[in-house]
Amino acid sequence: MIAFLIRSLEAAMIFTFAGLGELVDQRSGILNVGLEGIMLFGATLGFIAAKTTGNYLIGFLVGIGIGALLGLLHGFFSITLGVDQVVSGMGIWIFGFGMTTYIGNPHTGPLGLERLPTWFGISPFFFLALFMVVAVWFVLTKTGWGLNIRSVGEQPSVAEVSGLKVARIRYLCVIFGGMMAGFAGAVYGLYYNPVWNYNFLMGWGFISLALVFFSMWNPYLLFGGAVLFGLLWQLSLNPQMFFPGLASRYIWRMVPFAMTILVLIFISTNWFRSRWGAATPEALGKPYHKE
Amino acid sequence: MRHYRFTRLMVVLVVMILAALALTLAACQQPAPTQAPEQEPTKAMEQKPAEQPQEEAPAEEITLAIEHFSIIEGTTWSGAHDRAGKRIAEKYPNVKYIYREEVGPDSTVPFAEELISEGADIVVGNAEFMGLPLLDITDKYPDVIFGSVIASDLTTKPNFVRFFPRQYQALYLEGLVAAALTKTGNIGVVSAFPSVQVIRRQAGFTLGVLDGAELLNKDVNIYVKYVGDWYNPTEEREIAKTLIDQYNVDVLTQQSDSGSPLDVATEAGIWFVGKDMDIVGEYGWSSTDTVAISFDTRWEVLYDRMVQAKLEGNPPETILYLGMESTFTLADGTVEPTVDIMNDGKVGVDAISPKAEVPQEIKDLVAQRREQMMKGEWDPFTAHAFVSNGTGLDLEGNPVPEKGKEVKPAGEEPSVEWLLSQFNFDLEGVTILE
Repeated sequence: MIAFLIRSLEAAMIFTFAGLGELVDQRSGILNVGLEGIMLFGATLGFIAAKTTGNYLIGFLVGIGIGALLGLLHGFFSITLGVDQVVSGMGIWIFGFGMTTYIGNPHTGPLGLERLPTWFGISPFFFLALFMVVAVWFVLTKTGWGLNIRSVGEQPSVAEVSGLKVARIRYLCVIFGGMMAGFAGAVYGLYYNPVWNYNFLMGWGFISLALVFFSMWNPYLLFGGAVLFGLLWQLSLNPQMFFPGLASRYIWRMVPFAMTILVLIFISTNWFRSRWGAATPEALGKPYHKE
Repeated sequence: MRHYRFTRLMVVLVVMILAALALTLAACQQPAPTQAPEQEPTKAMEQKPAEQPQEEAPAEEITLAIEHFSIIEGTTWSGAHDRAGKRIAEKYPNVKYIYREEVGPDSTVPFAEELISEGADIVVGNAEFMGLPLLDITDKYPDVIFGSVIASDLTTKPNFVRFFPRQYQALYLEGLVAAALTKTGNIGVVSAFPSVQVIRRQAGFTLGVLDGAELLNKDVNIYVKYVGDWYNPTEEREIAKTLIDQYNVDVLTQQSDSGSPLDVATEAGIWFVGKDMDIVGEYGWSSTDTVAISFDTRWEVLYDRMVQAKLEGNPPETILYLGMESTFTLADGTVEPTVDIMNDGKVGVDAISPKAEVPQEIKDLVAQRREQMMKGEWDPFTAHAFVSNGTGLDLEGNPVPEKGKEVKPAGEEPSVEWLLSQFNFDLEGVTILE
């Protein structure tokens, strides 16, 4: 049971890292659906860097660095050029899938380094994820920076006339989002599943993306959603541990995804939104051109 | 300023002309199909005569083309097929090997036709899903031999070959070793999904475990947990961890394709039993500290039958199901059976990790059964009864037999067709974790 919980929490921490970056990104009005591609890049280049140098720190820094670069690239397309953000994000995902398969092929196989230490089976990254949740919540809701980020995500034209530099703030957010996604990928490739295979994230970036919508752009709800999804996912893999003989494995496999869809429908209702005052950042996904 | 602009324009023009020239020169080259590089010397040295004369190659030039469903590098399935193509080309100077990687269901036919236009006389699809698309074009190219690995469909034509190696024979030998290794009495299998191929492979392993356990007077459980896919690294890892944490498994094997279960075994410090290829000797993914035994598949034994048929102008055998009794002689004279236990470049009993505490009686039995299978004198599927465990895969007109039902008595040889297309139940002794 404890092992089951630990595995659920470790999956949750990866969703949390990637989701937090995307949350900040979206709060500033930029949608990055290329999360999966950035995570694949972070995981692959971080893996190769750590494997060739034998140094974990370099691996993580490379993961964060490539994430920042891809965030910057998405920012250039969506902020400077003002292209459709979904198209730019999909492009980054397809680029990430193809390029990491090409680059990573010669490195297929285990990392071959001493495993990173854990504390009673729980990774230190889990505690870092917890810290980041609180930090992102604090910055977004209790500081001037957070107010600025939220302002450019709601009414960029108003923010602009108030003296805020919309493009600069959005660039910083999208780079932060890229760094977090790259780091999440590196944690996956260097700690969680340190065996390189093509496309080895198998959709975890998209799950993180869905969790941001699930969270109503609140870091605490994001973390709660990540833990819930982690638990449901583990349960779907091992239903025999709790509900032996109840429903086929194929039904169980659908449960985490079906639950996510149901929750998304529920939080999309007017009743829920008016009750909780949750709303999509007004300018999310819309290119802003300075007037 | 104007002068500067003019100079810059000239530089751009010169660069463009040079680029166009380079492209033209490149285009003037003969279009070369993807050509296999030279094969490295093989590591398996089971029978190597000092100076075996190379077989005289017939004069006709033919081309063997393989469609790989995945990338080649670092994969045990396509990697073994690619090695087979190279070994064939190395042995016969008049046989050329060309290939395509990452061939999907929708690109099987276009790539096949492209390969034929490049001169392919034999076109092989190394994934089960390529069979039916290739079947569609067999009449269009009557002079080309097509081949595809078998899932459960056994449709053939005079120029359409279905093939598979009897990997269950090597898996049986692995099962004997696994039974000796387990101290908790629990062996775990991370498996893809119930299919005839997977069930057949697991049956070979199961019979080996049961024979080994009987010889050592041990109680052994085999836990199988399905991933739902051949390749899902994350879920394979989770399932491997579950088997270790929840089911106290201390010997782990897989019938799935990623390296994650091996990594979990390494991390947990338990024994791993490999499949399809010698992952220690060929790829260096692990060491004999973790991998107790593995097996190697030599697809070249099967390809050679098609190549020989083409060279001799004879119709090919349309169903090839070859085991340890069938061999291929490599260019360097090494004789290798279709499948064999292999680990860290060693074959036979020597393939058992020197660090594994395997009793001599098990080693003797492994050696005896291996020799018998290489001579074609014994087969685990003939020798043993098939008693259903009540789980498996319902096929059309062939439901899973009820638990305890003896489907085949000991001593009766199952037909090739039945093994390849109708073997749909787990054997008694296996626990499928739903």
